[in-house]
Amino acid sequence: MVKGKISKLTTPNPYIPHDILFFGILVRLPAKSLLRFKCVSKLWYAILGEPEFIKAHLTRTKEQSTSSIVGFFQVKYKDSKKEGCEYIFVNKEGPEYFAVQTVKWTSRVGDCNGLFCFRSRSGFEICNPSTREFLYRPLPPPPPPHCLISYGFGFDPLKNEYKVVQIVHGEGNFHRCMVCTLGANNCSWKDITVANIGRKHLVDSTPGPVAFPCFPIWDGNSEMNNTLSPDTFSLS
Amino acid sequence: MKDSFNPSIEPPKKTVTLVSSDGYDFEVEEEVALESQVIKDGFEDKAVDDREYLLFNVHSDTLELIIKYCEKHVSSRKSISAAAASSSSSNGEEALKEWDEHFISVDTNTLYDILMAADYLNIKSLLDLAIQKVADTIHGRSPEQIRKKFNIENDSIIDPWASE
Repeated sequence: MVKGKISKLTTPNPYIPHDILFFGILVRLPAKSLLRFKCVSKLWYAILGEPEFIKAHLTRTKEQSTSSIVGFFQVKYKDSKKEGCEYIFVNKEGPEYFAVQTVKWTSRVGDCNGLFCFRSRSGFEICNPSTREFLYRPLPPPPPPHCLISYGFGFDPLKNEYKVVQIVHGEGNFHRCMVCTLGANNCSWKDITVANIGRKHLVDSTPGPVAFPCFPIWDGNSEMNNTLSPDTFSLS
Repeated sequence: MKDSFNPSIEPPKKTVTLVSSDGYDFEVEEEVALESQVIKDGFEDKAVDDREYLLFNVHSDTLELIIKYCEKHVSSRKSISAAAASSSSSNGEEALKEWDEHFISVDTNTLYDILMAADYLNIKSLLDLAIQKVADTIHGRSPEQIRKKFNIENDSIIDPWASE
């Protein structure tokens, strides 16, 4: 046994293994900090954008209820020159807020895991207030006249995808359900089969002034009940 | 009657020996050493007279702190559960939190040493404490400060915050 004090090796810049650094430490930081840290280096940029890291961050944020968006409100305006609508998201960390400006009137479809989905005249706008990212999806083919339309937005945990759903309910027992997957290369709408859809499912579940009845497929916290097959879902 | 057990006479405490990377022996009580999941995992398989652990990755300076933390947590847990059993009110958990906060308020190098040792020994509560501390210290930093802190070369193409 060696006796006698061997002084500790101290480095001015200690090394922390990546699994601890990213999945232990950085995963605890709010999205705003992470957004800033994306430009630390190429490696940081890559890791902070990885689905695996984003998933870990989301899981932790949900567990700790540390989501930084505490609410949002909608401002609609109209004058002789233009009309529009702003969504203002309020951040927990202070009075800071920012607005999402849309050209035309929009209504809120739903929110899920910090993503907000709005329906505008021309399509769907999905925004992530934390990263200030936007995504646009065109509308599906127009439904036959005199139909009730409703929209939903949610997360499919089996495929790790976010989806916008449109359900059209018409005379008799006519219905058509279409899904658009976010992040897929092909942003087209696909028909899906839904068992036992009835008129009772078309209820307005969104608070505030909405132009379209909303469909309670998911609320922001619950996950898509996706047990039938990858592209069908049951209504609960 | 089997009721001859006298609680006032405590059996002699069992101890284990922890050996730091620079060759120092630390004799600690069994239950203190068992705070480490790594030691706990192989503990029952080891012979009683062979309870010596060579901790190649923990320097004596750090080990001393780690032992201090584990001793405090073992004793606090006992007093908290004793207070709960006698249903007397106790702010033991609050006090322990405060103690933790004070314990982890150390310089950066010591903090990293504690973090790495807690990871190596798998002491979950301590690892959590150290990680949270590091997270708190980098929370509001700029990318440039982060590069300095973690010794990262700036190879980023765009740096929209550089002017801030």
